[in-house]
Amino acid sequence: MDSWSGVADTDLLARLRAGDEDALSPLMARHERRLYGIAYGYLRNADDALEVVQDSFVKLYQLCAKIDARAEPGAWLTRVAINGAIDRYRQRKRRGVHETTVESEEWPELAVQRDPSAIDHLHAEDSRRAIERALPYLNERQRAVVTLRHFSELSLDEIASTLGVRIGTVKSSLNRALARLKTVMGEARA
Amino acid sequence: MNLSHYLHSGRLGLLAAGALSPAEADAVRTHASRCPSCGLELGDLERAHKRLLEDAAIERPLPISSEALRTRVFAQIRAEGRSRVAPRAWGITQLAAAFGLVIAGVAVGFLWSKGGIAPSDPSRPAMEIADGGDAAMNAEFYERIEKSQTRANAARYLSEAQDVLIQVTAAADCPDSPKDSVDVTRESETSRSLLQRRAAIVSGSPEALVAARGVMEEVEGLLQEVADLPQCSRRSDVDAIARRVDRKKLLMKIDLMTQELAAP
Repeated sequence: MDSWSGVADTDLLARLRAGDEDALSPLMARHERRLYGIAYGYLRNADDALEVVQDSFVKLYQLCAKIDARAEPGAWLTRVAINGAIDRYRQRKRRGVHETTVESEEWPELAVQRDPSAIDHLHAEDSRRAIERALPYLNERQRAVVTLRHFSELSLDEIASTLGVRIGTVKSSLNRALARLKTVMGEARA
Repeated sequence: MNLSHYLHSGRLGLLAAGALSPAEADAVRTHASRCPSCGLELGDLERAHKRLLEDAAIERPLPISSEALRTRVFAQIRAEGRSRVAPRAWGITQLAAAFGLVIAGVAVGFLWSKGGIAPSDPSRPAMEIADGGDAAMNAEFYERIEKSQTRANAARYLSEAQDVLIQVTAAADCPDSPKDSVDVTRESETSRSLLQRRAAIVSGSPEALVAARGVMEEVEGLLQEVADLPQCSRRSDVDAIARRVDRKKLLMKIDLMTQELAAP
């Protein structure tokens, strides 16, 4: 693996395209944890997240010939992973094993938490639970934007490009998502 | 409410998430420092953002070793073969092709059961069914496939229509748009394309969609309104559509109906 340390991702992709399947391993080593973080952040389930990561690398191998040679494999993998997570989330919803999804129409019925210190009082475990309780209040796009912003630290432009939406949509999704998360997380403490 | 509040209060979340340019951030922060309600709101949002970052920073190792993951990936590659292209979301062409195949299958089955087509290859399994003389069973089989396909197509159509309606709602709420106008070009185009697909889906096997008729009609009405919007629409028009979506609880209805249609 060390012999690949100075080789750029794009060069590894070029080797993969040329049929050198050994080039996949260093790409996996470089991106597996980041992709797992994104998939876990979206799905909050270790097994599902692992399968998304696995599928992403399989797709990279299978579709490498179709990827633009100038493309950054990391960005391509991020797009595949977040879309894979969204697909898996939809499958879970169809199978009825999803969290209790709360539609936006029901949102106003939630009491707004007005104790500004409530979120401060959350401890790490409470915090994790509060986030998991709050995530179902987001629609798929808001959830994806929050995941990419917080778990992958992408810029708004990169998020827009990854999700194939306009930057204005990313901004409004992030704005709304944070407002909803703030209220539900505060409520979790109340 | 003053002008400063009107301009800046909708961007507090973006400020908290570090998603504004320095100049924008300065302007919003200055407003928040002078506006008690926005100051409180910003504090809450920043705490929520901090919690999210802390949660994201928690070390979450892969549940298996990197070696094991590599083994799994290469095993899956070997199993699936390099040439196979991973399945993607269906486009209109694929939907039309699938629909055509189903219709062709039903037609062939029907003609077969009437003896209208001479079998060319007696070894094919489908022919064994026809040769068995059970024409009714054959027709019923194809009818079941057609209904199932129609329901799957309708579920996919509703899911994509839901995406459009969410986009329209988000566009109405977009803080970046000019005050009086909203660009909904993409949503209008997608709505037109969805409406064309709807016609094909409904004409296939309407009896398979009896339960979905109400929701599909409501969705069609709203898609028609979105499709009719000009490229640069008045914000009030887009707002009105977003409010109707909200009032009808349409996103929730679509979710429920999609699940019902996708159920075996």
